[in-house]
Amino acid sequence: MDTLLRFKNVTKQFPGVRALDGITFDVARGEVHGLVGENGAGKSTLMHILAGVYQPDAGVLELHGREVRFADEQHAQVSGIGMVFQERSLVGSLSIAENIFAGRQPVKLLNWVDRRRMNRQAAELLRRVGLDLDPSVMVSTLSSIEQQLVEIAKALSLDARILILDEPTATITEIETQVLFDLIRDLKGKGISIIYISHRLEELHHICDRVSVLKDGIYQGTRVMSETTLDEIITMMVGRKILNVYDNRGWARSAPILQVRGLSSTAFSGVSFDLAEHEILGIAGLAGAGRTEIALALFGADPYARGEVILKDRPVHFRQPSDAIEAGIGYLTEDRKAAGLFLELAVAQNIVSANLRAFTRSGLVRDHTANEKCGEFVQRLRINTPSLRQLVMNLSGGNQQKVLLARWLMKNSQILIIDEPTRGVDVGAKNEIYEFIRQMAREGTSIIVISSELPELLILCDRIMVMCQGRKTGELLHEEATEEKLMHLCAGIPLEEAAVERGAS
Amino acid sequence: MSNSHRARDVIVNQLINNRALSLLILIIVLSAIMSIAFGGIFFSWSNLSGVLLNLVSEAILVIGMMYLIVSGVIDLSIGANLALGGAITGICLKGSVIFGLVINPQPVAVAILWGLFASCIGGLLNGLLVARVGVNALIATLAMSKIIGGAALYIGGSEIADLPDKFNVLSQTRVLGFFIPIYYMIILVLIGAILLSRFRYFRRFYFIGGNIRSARLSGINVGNTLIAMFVLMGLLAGLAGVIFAARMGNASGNTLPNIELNVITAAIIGGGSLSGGKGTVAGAFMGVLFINLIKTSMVIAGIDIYWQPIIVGTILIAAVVIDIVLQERYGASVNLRKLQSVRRRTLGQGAGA
Repeated sequence: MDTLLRFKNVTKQFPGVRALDGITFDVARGEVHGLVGENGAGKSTLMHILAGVYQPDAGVLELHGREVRFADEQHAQVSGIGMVFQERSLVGSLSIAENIFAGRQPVKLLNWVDRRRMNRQAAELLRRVGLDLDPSVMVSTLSSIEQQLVEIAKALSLDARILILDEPTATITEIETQVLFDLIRDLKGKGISIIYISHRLEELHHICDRVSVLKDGIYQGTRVMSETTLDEIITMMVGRKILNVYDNRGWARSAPILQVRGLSSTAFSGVSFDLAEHEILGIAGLAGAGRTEIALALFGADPYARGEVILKDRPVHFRQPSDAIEAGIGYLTEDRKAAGLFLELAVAQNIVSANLRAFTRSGLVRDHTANEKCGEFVQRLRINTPSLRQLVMNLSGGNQQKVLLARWLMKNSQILIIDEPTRGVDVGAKNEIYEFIRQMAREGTSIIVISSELPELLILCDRIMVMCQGRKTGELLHEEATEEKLMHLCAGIPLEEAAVERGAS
Repeated sequence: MSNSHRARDVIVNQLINNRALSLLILIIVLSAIMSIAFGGIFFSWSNLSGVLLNLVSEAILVIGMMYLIVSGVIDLSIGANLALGGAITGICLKGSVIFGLVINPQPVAVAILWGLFASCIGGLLNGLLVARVGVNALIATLAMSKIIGGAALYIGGSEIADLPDKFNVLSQTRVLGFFIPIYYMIILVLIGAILLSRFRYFRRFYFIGGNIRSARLSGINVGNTLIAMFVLMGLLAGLAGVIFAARMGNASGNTLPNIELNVITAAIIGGGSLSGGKGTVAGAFMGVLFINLIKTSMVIAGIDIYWQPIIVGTILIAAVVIDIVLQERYGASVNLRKLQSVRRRTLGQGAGA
């Protein structure tokens, strides 16, 4: 095989984490090379190194057999690395042509932009990616797939030999995916190598020649796609993990407090589930599966089109979060910095912010009582803070998350939805947070945990429901759930098919 | 799709996307109404000349302001910088003593260059604060407006009167019935518009304001570009200050207070967005014209002067709201219809390949 690119022992250390540890594999010329791994496995760190955003602490990249060291993104670009990031890089108010040639528009005398030549060259590039569009059209009028293809045209305009596609199908429909795949095959035929990152494992068989797997920053191996099964890849991604400190309480089978029937909106459709008293229900799924959107709809923050929500035998439809809070539902956001905490306020103020009414008499907040109560919660949750007046921005991630938990604990919600309970939280605090969630459930709160970390769901939840692209793909009781099964459901592969595949291999 | 539909789409699209054109139409309509209602008072060369002369400073400043707004930043110090340019030119013409330094009267050209230089330094400091130190542009230029404004007052005092005729003639000459600053303004606006719409260096501003990360990835030196832009803004403020001083025959440390807010208002009405990435110089200039036309019309119609800021504020909000409503209601549907045909073609090709 004609090797174009080789990672040799690439290692990258971030404060507190070894993001990549001795990654070694190669990418052939004209190959579509899949790169998979769970969240935090190191895929994007590795690609950022290839694109020149980061520099490795140890190890090297070899391009055409020669050692290269990219000082910055531009250096990588001129060396033939084109990266199409997940977040778009286009400017909506400019034409397609200008976006393709951003800062490098063809010019005449005095750097006067030569629009005719620019449009002609852009049209040529658009044809190469199979887009029959007028290059002078504004980018904001394009659909998601069209923008995606324009991004690829932009990378091609730099004469990319290696194209990195990061989750290219995350925002496009199935039919559009076929258009993209046709283009990828076409580019491959022209000798361009493509590194394809995707969480949608079922795509790998359709488009990849080989797949490399990362797990916790460590290279797990490369497989030729036609000689492997998804099962093997999933096992490589998951590895063997020693977990399972779950104490089975079997609450999933008790009487439901919340029933959701056929809930549909633009982000999800026909989702039904029950939540029992004392139960911890997990919602698994990839980014974009519609998990958070369901939570926001239940909480009254987002509208939903159809469906029924029954809270304690009474149909409810919350139009705004304050209604949901009133009815005893709490929501801990996944983005605690942007949407949860008041970073520049003190610990105490953050905790009481949702409970001010309880501490107010004749319009005045009674600080003394509020502080006393906060003190109790700080102790109970073991929030590590020098005082109640400490600003939340100065706390660690774990302690910030506990402050949020305290806020809703004080509220005494009957139902608490926790979105990514341990994102950006260190291991010690993680276990403490798990313990509090369990304790709350024991004391009578019903809890919905949304998480991208399957192990977390497995040790916390009595029952796990899985979503894929806005639809519920399955529901497993704790005793039947395994990481492999969940992964299959997350990728939208029904369990029967997975079993058949396993039998065949 | 019927022809009338398509024609409507084209018109709606133009009105949404081409703010300069829609403002021009409004200006023509408003002028026509005023001409019919007030005849000769409104539609006279002297009124036209007067209106245009009054908006020279705003029109020159709005060029640079639109560059900044397109790039996603803003400059609140331009009023102070304008005063500084005029004041420095003034003391260089008349001679003075500042900081114990004796300044002898200078030739006109030298004095103007010193004035422009001072304003450029003001712009440079803005640029360094924003691009190198990383201070938010609003805060940096707000602080600089106090500092520059204070310096201008210290240097220029309340008035540097009786500037030499050799200097004043630069703004007080008439050509074909119009005062010469109007020609300066037209030339500067034309150059400014062509630079932003046609030149590669200036096209960068859209990438910086529209998607700063993408701008960096595309090899654009964002920091240096921002600094250059603030210096250019300073230069334009200095030019406006010099032209204004020559027109008045005197300079002072507090010329045209609050002009920066008027200029920002005009730029937003003219299609700019404070989140960056959109706007044209033509639109911004039309914004200046439109606001001043409204003000003049109100004066001629005998409406109390206190109504002017109320109306201008209302127009500013209306401009933004109309933008939001049009985008929501028509923007999507026009594009969708156009797109469906495009997508069908694309998919057809994809499947055929």
